[in-house]
Amino acid sequence: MASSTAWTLAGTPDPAWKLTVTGDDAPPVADPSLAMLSEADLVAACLAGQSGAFDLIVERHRRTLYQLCYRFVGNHEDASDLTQDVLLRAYRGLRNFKGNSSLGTWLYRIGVNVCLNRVALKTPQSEPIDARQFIDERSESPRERVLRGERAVQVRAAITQLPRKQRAALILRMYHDMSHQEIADALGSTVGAVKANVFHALQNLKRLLGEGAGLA
Amino acid sequence: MRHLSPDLLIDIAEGTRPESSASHLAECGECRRQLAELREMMAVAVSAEMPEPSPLFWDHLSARVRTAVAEDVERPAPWARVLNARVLAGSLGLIGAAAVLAMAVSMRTGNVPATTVTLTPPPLAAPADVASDDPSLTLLTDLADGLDWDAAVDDGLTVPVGAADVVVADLSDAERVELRRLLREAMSAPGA
Repeated sequence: MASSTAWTLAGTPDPAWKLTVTGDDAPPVADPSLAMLSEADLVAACLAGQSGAFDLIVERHRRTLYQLCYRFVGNHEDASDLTQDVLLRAYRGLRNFKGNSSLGTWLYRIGVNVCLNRVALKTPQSEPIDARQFIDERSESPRERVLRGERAVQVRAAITQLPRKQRAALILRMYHDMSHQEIADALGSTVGAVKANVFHALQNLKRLLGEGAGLA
Repeated sequence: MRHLSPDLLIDIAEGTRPESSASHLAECGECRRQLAELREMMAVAVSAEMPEPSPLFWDHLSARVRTAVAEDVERPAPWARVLNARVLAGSLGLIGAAAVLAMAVSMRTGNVPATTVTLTPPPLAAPADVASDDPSLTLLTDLADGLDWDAAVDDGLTVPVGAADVVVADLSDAERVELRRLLREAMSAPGA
């Protein structure tokens, strides 16, 4: 049966614009009390089959997981597929979440494993040129904007060429603000190995970008 | 001269350890160069922003996850996934062989059960042949259709590698002798 629920897009930048979507795929209305639950209680609610509990977990973590996946593969299509895969695996394995780490760290761990496995199987696609169009660059001149966008594309592409462990360590350290210990836990490694991977990743990044490119 | 380790250089580059803690830096141009490069590439990496997807993407992603979860819930239970005909045929063979072995050992040691049951392992057959013999197996193969060995392994529902070795290691001397005899018999049979 088609649902006619109308919902408003959260986070619409300009309050004067109100985007309303009506359709068959409108999300179910979650219990507002779920938002008040701790992570552990939210997981428990999800395992108890409470409607909307997993939706809330997805909503809270989808952005960081997408960013993690994007840094790994360097393109939107694969990143969105990977993010879906990570969240589906998280749903399947939710009973294994013991609360020893935060839910975010646990999800990162799944995300890293999914990305490492995918990276082992697939050569990354090149990033489309229009991938730069959403960066907010209003304070820059057009020339600066173009150059910065090109630099960012080059760096992101170079990162996708790094060996898997180096890439994982660099991404988690540089873009997700994880400590060396947290990264070691996520990768099943040691702090020393993580630091060595970050070190070699940065050296390889410099080599990939070319000596004297003046990117800094 | 011993240069600074990658660990130490990373700590100094990230600022978690002061340069003054490594006196070697003051006298080694190579380590200073490496440190400067690390800092430069960290700045380069951090400055590489990520393109922001369309605002509509996030709800689209949530909808995709919701659909995938719903489809996942509707799939057959994991136990059914394992029961594809190939696994079933192999399992029946192993169960049969184990039963024959147990019977033979019992008879040799004098512990003959009051009721004698003869269980003959079925011949290994192609999945289609196995299923066509029994309507219940047809149901199982339908349930497991499209599922593969890797999925069963992922779910932890297969026998771990080396499990047979563990079982054999636990056999008594008499059981090992009997197993050896049965294996020789089976290997010398016509068509083996």
